[in-house]
Amino acid sequence: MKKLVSKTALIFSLAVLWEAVRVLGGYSELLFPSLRSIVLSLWAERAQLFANALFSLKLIGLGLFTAVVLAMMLALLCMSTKIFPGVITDIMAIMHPLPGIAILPVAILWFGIGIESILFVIIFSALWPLLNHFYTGFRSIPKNQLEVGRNLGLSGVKLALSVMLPASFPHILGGLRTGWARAWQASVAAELVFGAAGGQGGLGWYLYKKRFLMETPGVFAGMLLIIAIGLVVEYLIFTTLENLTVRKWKAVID
Amino acid sequence: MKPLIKVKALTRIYDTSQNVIAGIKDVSFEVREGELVGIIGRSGCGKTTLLRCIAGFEKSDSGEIFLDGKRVSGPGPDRFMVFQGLDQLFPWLTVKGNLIFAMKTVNKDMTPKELRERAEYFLELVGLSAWADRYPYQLSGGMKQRAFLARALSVSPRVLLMDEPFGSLDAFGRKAMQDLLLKLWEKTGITILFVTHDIDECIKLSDKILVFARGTLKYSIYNPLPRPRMVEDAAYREFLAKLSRMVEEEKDIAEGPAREPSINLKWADVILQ
Repeated sequence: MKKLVSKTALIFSLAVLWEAVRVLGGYSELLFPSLRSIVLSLWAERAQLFANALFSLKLIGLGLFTAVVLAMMLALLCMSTKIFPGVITDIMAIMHPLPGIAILPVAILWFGIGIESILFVIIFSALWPLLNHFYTGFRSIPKNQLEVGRNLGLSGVKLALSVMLPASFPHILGGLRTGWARAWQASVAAELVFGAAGGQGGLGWYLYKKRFLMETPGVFAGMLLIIAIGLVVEYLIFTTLENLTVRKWKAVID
Repeated sequence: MKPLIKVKALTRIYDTSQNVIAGIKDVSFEVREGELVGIIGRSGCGKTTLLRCIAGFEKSDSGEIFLDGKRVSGPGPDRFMVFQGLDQLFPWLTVKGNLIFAMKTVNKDMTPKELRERAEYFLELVGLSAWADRYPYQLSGGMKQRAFLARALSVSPRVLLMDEPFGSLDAFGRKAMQDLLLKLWEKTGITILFVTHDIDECIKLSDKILVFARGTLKYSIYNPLPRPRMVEDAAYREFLAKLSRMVEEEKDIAEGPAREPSINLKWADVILQ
């Protein structure tokens, strides 16, 4: 309850600050729209926004899932072979600093103008931070716990699933958070740069259209929705997952 | 009687930094079923390496280890190890959950009811019943040690391997755990090999004592003292003095293991090999 009050207070003060800057600065509605017009735009275009948000979420969900599976397999390969960690560390050093959006031109060349290209950018953007977190997590598992698992006769996939995964869960959760944020950024950025993929579009495409038409309240409405989805996912999924796992085991500091 | 464990000319050497050679060299001994064997020596004498070889975590360079006549080639639940350190329980499972996970992994045929009852039985045995549903972070160091023992016994290993099991406890906790280990050993009749650098602990617990120095087995002797062993007894102090001398003896043993003790053992008379 106390948390809820403080969070509401924070949002309320941000809203007051926004309005104060707008009124005192005397900015044009085109540059700095009022909260009222943003909310009105949000409401008026709710059907369109919902469809775009759903499209984005589907794409991000698919991309993130693929990236998680890939990262998990690569991290496990790193743990089970001798030469792989060096190779992957080098590849990660090359790829990780590269913004996902920078490979969009290449993706378009390879996959054409379609959702495949955006999907590729999402996977690329999420894969490296995920892999980094997973591999760090696996390496920080207490040796004793791994050896207890091996002592019980576990090895390979069984050891990975029943010991390594839960033992490195704080890192895995951190990776999922970063991966989710990167996937969002990538999907919005890709659509902002080159527009809709095929007939449909996500929230990035919505922002692109609104900016193009100089409907500034609409741009902010789209951004507000992206923030709102981020908050809902954080509190509904990640925080719940954290409370049910690492917090319960006291694997992280409160 | 056929020995349960047979270690034959076991060698496992590895280079540590600065070209210091660590490990064990040409170690041979036998352990009979139900024996409580103490492995003692100064730090770096190879006693942990030996235990890890028997557990199957380390491959030997040469030599062989047999359990019940079968050659040991990797880790397995028939040789369950209690490691050093307090992080051996899985933090995502309750204490009981840890036992159930271990038993379930080793024996897939047990029903959930059997697993639960067996876990409760072993937790009762070590006095942890009240803590069965707690998570590992809620346990003190001594309680964790009890939980390690309960888990190890619950999977019914042929031999229990313990690497300085009570090293992280204070004097009171250590005494309590030693008494508990003896009680469990008498109750279950399990074979135990434990590594220690505490001479008192070694005398109090073991039937047989293996003295290691610089990677070789220097002495293999039977403990002549009847149980319970009291520090107040003259015989205890006399044996303590002799064993201390054996452990601390620093003669050159580079050329193969010295199998004959250089001091006169008046009543520790059964010298193996």
